[in-house]
Amino acid sequence: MLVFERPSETAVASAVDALRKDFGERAVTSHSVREHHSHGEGMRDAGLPDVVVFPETNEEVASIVKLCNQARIPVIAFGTGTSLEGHLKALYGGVCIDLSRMNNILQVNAEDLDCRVQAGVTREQLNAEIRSTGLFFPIDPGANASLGGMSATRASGTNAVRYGTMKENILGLTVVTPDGRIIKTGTRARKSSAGYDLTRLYVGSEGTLGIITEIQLKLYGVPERISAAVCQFDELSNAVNVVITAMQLGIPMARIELLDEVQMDACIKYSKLEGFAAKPTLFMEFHGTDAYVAEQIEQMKSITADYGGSDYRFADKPEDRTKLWKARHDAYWAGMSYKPGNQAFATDSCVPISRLADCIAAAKAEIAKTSLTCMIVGHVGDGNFHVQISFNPDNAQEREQAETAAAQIARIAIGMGGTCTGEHGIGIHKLDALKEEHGEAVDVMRTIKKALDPNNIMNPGKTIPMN
Amino acid sequence: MQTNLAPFIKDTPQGIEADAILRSCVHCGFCTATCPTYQVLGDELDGPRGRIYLIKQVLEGAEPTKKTQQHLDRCLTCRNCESACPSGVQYGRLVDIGRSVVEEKVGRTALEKATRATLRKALLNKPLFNTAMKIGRAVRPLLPSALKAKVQPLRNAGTWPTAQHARTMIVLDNCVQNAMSPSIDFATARVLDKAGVTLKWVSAGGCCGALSHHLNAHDEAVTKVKANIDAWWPLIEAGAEAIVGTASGCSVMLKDYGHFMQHDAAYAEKAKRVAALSKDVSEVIAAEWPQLKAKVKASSDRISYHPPCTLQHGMKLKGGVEAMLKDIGFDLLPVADSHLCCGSAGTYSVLQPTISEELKSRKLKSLTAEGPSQIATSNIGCMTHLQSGTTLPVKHWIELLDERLA
Repeated sequence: MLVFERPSETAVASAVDALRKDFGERAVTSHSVREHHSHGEGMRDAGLPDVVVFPETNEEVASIVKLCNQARIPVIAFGTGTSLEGHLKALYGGVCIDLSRMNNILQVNAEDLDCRVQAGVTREQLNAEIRSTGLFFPIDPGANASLGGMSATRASGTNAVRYGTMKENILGLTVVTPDGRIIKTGTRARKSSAGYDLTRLYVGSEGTLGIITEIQLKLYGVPERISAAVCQFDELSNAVNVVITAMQLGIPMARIELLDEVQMDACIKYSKLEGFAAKPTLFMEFHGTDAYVAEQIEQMKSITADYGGSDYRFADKPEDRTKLWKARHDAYWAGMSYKPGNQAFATDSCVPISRLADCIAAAKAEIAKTSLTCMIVGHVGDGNFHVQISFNPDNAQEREQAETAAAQIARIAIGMGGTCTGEHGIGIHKLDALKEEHGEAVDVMRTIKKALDPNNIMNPGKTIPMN
Repeated sequence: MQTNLAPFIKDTPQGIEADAILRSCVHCGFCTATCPTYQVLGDELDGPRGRIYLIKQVLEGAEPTKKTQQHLDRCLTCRNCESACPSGVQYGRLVDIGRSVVEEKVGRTALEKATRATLRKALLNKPLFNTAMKIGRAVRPLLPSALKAKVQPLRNAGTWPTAQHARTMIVLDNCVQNAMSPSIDFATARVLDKAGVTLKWVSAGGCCGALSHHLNAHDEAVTKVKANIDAWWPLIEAGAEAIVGTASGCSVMLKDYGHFMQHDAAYAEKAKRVAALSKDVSEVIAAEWPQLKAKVKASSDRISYHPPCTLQHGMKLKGGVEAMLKDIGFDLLPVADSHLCCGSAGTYSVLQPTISEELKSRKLKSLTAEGPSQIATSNIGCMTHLQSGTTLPVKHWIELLDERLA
């Protein structure tokens, strides 16, 4: 139904000429730049855009989209290129809009705990620039992603258990629609009952409904006390049960991350962590006042003791905490360097918290059926975990094993009332899983897509299954 | 990443080293954002990850072009990417290998060859360079502004201490520093004298070999390295504690002697010993700091400090100089993006003037943002490069210390 026809070469050539005329050196057709813009951090299957354009204003983005809509040429938005599900692959060629030059922080309203940024601002850039206000933006996917890209994929990270995901932290957007209009969604108010919630519709739409160019974000005060702790276990199931109990007791963890023994081994080697064993491990962080943090730690210690956890290793100094969380954020790369030359799929199952232990056990059983190196890391406080399945891309059998296992792990989560993707998105790799997860509801999604983007120029072939 | 090196290089020492480096890269791209040339040019191929891909392709048998060479030439070799890299990829070594292979295959135009040869000859020929600087200074008022910027008036070097202490160290005879700014070595000798160390100056014709090495004149570099080792060896045997580099660009090369000469049977062991004894002046002074600090006359001047790439990325020496400057009492001003290169990068400022100038103006903007009375750094290259763009005095930090000990 939504199959896209590749535009004719002449149509593309004349669009490229027009873009060159308007954007000069900011419309790039060199192979290396197009290749760089054709993939995220996941698999590098071929599919290059015809041109990459670097706009600097909302109006410039609108002019590009308008041109593409008239010529029926695909448009793919690019933030920093850190997605994992093939979101950037130009299946039918087209125009890639790189938003990295739209990197201004437009306003910081410290007294209202919010700010407005252009889509190309990265999360680290935002936090560096607002440091003096005593505020911070908590959402932290491993990569230093752009906030536009994080909005478009409904990203989250280690802080989501306390602060929510992008969905909870966006008050409003500026979006360029497929016909080139520039619209504002939401307000600066913390809540609103005014009409359809377009903000939530565009958040997580993966560039298939429009291009997000500005975001109004919630900010938070930097806690008075931040304490990070590490606890190790002999059994993975014990570590998982600690998390389930903590969540059920309502301990307000700021972060609680699980690494299995393989992932821990990889992280110790890659990030040169000292004094840890390659065992199932929880990385935890507590935010609050001194007394509040002390109380949370005491509660947590009584739970981990019940499950045979080790003594805690604390990281209270900022540089120690940074090293610890950097190691966690680099887990994907630690996994990549664990098997040099290999590629990897990262699954993204998320289940209701009470089913987490069952889901991880079932995923482990799936892994055991393969001959592949796999490791588990997860934002387990949310019931979300990733299995990084490493395979030799030149070995067809290994790749097939990896694909089968990844699909099966998604299916297990769906069967438990969960989702195939907690934070990475659908892209091109999880289209089948989306159908399994949402059934008839996918047809409604398709109706929305057709209504808003009748020519199907916005990132065609992604997010919504074509049939 | 997966590699499949072509037969022409696969089993050579260069090929084996390059293969190991390439395989350690997971192409995460953390390096890209920190690369000064990527920041200026915005092209993937002008960042470390892109260059690594280019080198990989060439080593796997793809034919490099003039364009490939241009992307590699534009690299400053500042090694900022190595500091950012969580996988420990030794980019600096890889780009050296890549450049030499590409130069072999693509060659250089007659003009490029002439420029590079002239640079080497002029900078390495001490009498010639000294005379040129003298003439330049004499006629400085008449020089066009671009050249005037490069020819700075000489600061009085003062006198070399005559006391003979039991403890001795050797100072490297740099190629250009003594003509452009002899006060640096003299200041180092005076400061070490206050610490009870005699600094010995032995000339082997000048230059650590880095200049030739980075201009791909391998044999010439080897000759320089051997001459230095031969000249220092009697003093090392006699108990010299360290070989002091007073320009961080030279210090980083001295520390690399062991690796550089590893395949030379006659010199490998000696080179290793020299490398182990080699210290940047900041390391030597830090070790003597407790006794020197007691003798310092405090100053509360507002100054900015630029840590050269060879110091902070090449040798991974971070924060040492800053700590001593603060101890002296200086109001050390915060400098944005202090991890970035100033654009000097050895002969880069001559070979890639456009990018170099852009980086210089960005660097000076951050260095002067808080209104310092002078700028300090640790390398003659950065010093003269920055001085050419500002009226504020730019000095080696050891000169500031020397002033506070006088």
